[in-house]
Amino acid sequence: MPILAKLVGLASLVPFIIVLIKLFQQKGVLHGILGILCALYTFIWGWINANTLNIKNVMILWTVLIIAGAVLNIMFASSALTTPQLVP
Amino acid sequence: MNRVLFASLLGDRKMATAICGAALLHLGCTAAGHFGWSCPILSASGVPCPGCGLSRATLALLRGEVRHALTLHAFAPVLLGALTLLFAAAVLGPEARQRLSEIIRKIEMRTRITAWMLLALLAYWTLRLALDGRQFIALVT
Repeated sequence: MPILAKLVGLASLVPFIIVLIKLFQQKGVLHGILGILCALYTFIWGWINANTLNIKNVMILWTVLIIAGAVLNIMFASSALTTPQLVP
Repeated sequence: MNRVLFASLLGDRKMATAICGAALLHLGCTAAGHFGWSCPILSASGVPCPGCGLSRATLALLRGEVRHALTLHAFAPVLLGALTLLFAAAVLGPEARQRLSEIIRKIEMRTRITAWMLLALLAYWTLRLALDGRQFIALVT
């Protein structure tokens, strides 16, 4: 499960970088740096400008990956809590 | 480099509302112990980004645990201040919002404060990773 969560995390880096490049191109260096430091800003900016920049599919993919990552993390956390510990 | 960043966010009601809403949702999820927004840099590389730990630090600050908040992330008061201004921009009327945005624009133009803050945040992150990276990673993950 952690490997799958890691893979989803790695995959979500791709849409993040695509939107980040758009952010640098459209808004300049300062907004781009803010986008690196705070990915949530990049995500919000991406959705607000999804139609005008034609990146709706990228944003949908990023959102799906975020939800998948969150679900996997919750599943992993709950399975870690319910798995009985082996006592020697 | 464009000097104005925060004023442009304050002047855009849609953006200010979206950032505030997302931040409140994320802080709420973190406070409730659920999984909120996961940082793509941290989840992909295992290395926290410069903003990692800020949510928990801000929550600690809101609970009045100043020392704990500053241990988690020294920029928590800055984020709290920025969120307060964004919340004001989201709820204010158009004229008041423009006035607020104009005040911040003048401050940014005169002092370049936002650019300096971002640079300071990068320097703070680099220092934390260089001086005690393992503890920093353990603290924010």
